[in-house]
Amino acid sequence: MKNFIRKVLLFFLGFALLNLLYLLLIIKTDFTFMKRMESLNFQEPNHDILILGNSLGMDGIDSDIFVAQGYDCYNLALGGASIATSKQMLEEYIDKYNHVPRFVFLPLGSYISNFNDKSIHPVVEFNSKNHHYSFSDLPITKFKSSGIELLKKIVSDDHRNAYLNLGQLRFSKVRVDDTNYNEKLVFPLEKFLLSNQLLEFIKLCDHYNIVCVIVEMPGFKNTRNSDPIGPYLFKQFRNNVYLFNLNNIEFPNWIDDQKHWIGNSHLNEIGAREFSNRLFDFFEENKILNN
Amino acid sequence: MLFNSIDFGIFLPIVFVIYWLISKKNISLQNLLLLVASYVFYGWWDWRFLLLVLFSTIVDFSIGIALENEKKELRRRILLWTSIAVNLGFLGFFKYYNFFIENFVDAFSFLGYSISHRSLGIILPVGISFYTFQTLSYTIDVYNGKLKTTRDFIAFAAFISFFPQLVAGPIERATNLLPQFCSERKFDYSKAIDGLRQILWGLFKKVVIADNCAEYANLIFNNSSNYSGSTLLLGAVLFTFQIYGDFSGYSDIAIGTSRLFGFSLMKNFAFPYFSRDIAEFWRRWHISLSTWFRDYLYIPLGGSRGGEWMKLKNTLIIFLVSGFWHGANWTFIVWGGLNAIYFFISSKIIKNSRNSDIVAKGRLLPSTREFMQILFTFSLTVFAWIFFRSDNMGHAASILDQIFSFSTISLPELLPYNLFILISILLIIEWGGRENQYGLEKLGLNWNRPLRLSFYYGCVLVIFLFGGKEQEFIYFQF
Repeated sequence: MKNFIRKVLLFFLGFALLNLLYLLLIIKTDFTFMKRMESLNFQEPNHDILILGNSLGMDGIDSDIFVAQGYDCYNLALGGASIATSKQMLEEYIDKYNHVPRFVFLPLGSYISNFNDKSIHPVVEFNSKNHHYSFSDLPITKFKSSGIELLKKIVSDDHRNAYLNLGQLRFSKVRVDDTNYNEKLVFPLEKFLLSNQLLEFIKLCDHYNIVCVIVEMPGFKNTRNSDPIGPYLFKQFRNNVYLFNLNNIEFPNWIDDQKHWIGNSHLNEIGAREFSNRLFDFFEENKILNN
Repeated sequence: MLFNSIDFGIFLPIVFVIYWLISKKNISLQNLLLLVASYVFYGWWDWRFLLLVLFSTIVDFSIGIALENEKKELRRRILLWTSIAVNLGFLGFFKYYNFFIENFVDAFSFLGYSISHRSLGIILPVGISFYTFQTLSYTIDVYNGKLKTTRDFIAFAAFISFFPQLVAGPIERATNLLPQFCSERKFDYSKAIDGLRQILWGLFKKVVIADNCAEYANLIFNNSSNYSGSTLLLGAVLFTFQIYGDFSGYSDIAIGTSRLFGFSLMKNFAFPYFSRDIAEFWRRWHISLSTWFRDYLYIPLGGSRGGEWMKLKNTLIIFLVSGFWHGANWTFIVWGGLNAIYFFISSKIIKNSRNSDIVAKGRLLPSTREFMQILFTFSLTVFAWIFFRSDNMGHAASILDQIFSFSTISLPELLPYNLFILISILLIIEWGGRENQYGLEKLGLNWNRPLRLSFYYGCVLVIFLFGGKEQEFIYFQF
């Protein structure tokens, strides 16, 4: 009996060590973790533009393009992050660095994301100031997706060769978009207007007088809609909030189906550079960055 | 409390340590502890229904004593039927009340009469079908003189509510489990280690296979009108693995947990998807329920005595009742009826070659003939599961309509390759271990210690990393 308990305890001790080892490995190798650690250790940041959101923004917006135009910019977006996570990250940033960015870009994909997801990204939650640790924080359970990303890195050159630049995750991998247009698709404006999480996010920006630019990101052909680009208005917030539908059939007509994608509606390094250039020009045309 | 929850991960070690260290060699104290632990386990879900468990326990305990004291056959029979009426009455009310009312109203509407009715918002108590059958087995066995009445209420109550198998089986016979509560349990190191291995394998089947299959099967079945025949067929196959992983995984965890406390529960699954005919499948699937029906319904009805017609009638009854036991829906009854038809045809065709041994025993691979038999039997079960999983008969018909169309001759819209790999791992390990009690039983036992430990940690890692979104056990709803 005692022998059994001793062995079980040793096994659990081994499991705890395995968790610790896993955590150390993830901290060193996982892009999300690396990026999170970087963003928690800025030295007196003075960003004009912060990019938030999920993997669509993390892969698809190249901060360098905005830096080249004189804007201090960092891509804070995290793969799998909900809007609630973006809000928490922005709050943390302002609180920690006592600095308010002038612009916040929130790239979203209504065709891929749930706008009412209240969950906080595990990596963000794990590093949050007020987080109470419990059994559910066991690294192997909590950072499952990081483990799977690590496996991808082990087996795939493309994943090993990816890198972070000002928060953007750059992939050179190419996947062809072989989907077809669906002319019946409409821009689901209500999904944006009725999302409580999004309204909370806008409220926060409004509170700090930050210009909030919400962008429906270009996706694969089968996600594109036939509605106008906008801007669409949030009646509650007449100023400083813009919503653009950049996934209508016309805006992404520069996208090369053979070269610009890394995976399902996610832009690769080249696609992101092209998109960011056009995004900057588009903002200039619409005088967004003059605010 | 779910087996695959953190709550249970804390609950189990606490009960285990108190059980062996504090109440060592004191059976009454151990039984009391198990009873309290079982009620906490059940009450974690909804404490109100504990009264129902307690009431059934008191009724059958009292009837058991009354049966022992009563010599007159008529009175004994009345006592037996009182127990059956009370237990099945609860089951009927909580599980079938709305079904009967709605079908009654529909039947009258069909005849041109209009009846107003109100369905009751009844919550189905978790595990009611399981513990009801378990407690009934006690009364019936006492009545038949197969079992002595127990006068130890705590032992009896602990037997009825034994937490590892309270909510989803295996449905234990009183003749097997109750005597274990009345005799001394000794801690057996090798049995406890074996129990842990079985729990590990059960968790793999539940968390990795069933929960991952569930995500796709739910997506496909819940949006069946959007998918082609090939995708719907894939959904049916994934549900086939989901229900196996879910239910046999639960049984493995239950049996393994019981072993930690010195109890032996009956085997509930014996690699059913390697069956060569449908009769063999039913000897290997949910064994505790199949044998319950055999012993307490089929044989009392006359079994196969009385010729072919009697056998046919009784078998049909068993399968229909078995279908109905699973839920108050026509889809379950059709599922049962379909299996009865399979059973008849199969028993006619393979009358002289009953597949009672283990497939390809002592060989690495099955023969081509065996492989084709396995594949054919598996296809039959997949077809039957479509009814089981569908919301109603119309839903099942629309799915079958798509499956038997030209849209099945195309690639499915969803191709979860990762899941195919995980299912392949399950099949390989189960095939390798098909001569044992469970797939993982002997795997790695002869390996050196570091390799064996690495294997266990590897299994734990796979469970944590590849586990699907937490889903409730399917059989909780039965």
